[in-house]
Amino acid sequence: MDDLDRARRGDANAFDALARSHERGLYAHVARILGPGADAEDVVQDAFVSAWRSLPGFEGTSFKAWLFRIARNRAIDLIRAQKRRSELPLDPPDDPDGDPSWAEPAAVGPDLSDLAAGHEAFAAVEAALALVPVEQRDALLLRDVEGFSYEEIATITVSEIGTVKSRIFRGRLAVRNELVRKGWRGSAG
Amino acid sequence: MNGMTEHPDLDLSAYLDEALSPGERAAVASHLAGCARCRARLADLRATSRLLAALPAPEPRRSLVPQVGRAPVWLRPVRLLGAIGSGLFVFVFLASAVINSGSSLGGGTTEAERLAEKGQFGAAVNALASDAAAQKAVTAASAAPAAAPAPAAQTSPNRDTSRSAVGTLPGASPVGRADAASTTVPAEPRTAVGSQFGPPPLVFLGLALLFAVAAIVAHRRLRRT
Repeated sequence: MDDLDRARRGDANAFDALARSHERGLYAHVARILGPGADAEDVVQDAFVSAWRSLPGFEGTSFKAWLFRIARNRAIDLIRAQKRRSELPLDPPDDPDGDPSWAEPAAVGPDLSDLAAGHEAFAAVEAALALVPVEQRDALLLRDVEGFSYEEIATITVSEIGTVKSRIFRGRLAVRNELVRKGWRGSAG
Repeated sequence: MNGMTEHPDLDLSAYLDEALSPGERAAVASHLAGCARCRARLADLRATSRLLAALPAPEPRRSLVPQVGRAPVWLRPVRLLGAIGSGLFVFVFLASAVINSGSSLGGGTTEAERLAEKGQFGAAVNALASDAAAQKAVTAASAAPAAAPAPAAQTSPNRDTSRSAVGTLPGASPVGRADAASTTVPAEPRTAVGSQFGPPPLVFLGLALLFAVAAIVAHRRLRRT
């Protein structure tokens, strides 16, 4: 019997072990949606409590995907509540038929390997990521950082596969374009 | 151009993630074979994806794993007692505030109260006795207003009798006896807290807050378990 089965049967130690194995990844994801700090920490902690309470009814196979679904839903709800207060839309509406533009690299700029080397590069990528609309960012991080499949992301985000595909592409392109605007020559440079 | 007449921008990302159907994948692969522009874009998307994957994860400042299923047994009683105590002390606070304000509005302070505050308890008891006698006389006079006024010689012994019936405590101050006729003195300025028996009302409010804080803390701990 693994930790998930034992946790389902009410074993608090097994749940503790499961939760600890996902704590950092879950926080990192939520922190990149909400921004690091108390809100992200509270969302993750509440997600764990909610998962513990709902665990007897959990019938899926991926505890990680389920946990991410709970946490990201809470994070998105929090953003929606904040935006509602300021009457701003969560994201610009998805336009699946729209043609996203590709920024042209400058003739001179840092090489990708240079960019990936130091803390400045990470800061630049984090800054570019922060500019991506939240639902695109969410899908992109679930794919590139957490390694979820498109089907899993569709389940986590309660979206169609086509929407997931579009969000990941647009999110990646947005990060790439922002880096190019900062002088990155792209992989061809 | 081969395989596709348009650049498959949207599918490049899914191609990278191996999320296309076999037919779609073959079509994109065929297009890529003859399109340098799309190969460059695919390489950019791949590089971006790797950059994102390599990002260091932000760390929480504290442990976020709750102590599930391990709530201390005393938390629930503390929450209950905190809630009850808080309500009770709020009630006591309001009650004592109302009583004190009523007392303040009621006018003067009796001589007995003044003496009691000064610690002269013997004198206070004598003053109380005098007050009672004076009130008795007033009641008797008002009960028979039509009757002929009694001679002063008749009323005086009555007063003395009532006083001697109560007796005088040893060590009692003569002040109490001397001022027996004046039952009240003008009210002195009082503080908001008042000088009633028992603690001031703000103490009850403080206790109510203390109990409320205990209840809230216990409730929050219980919510996270």
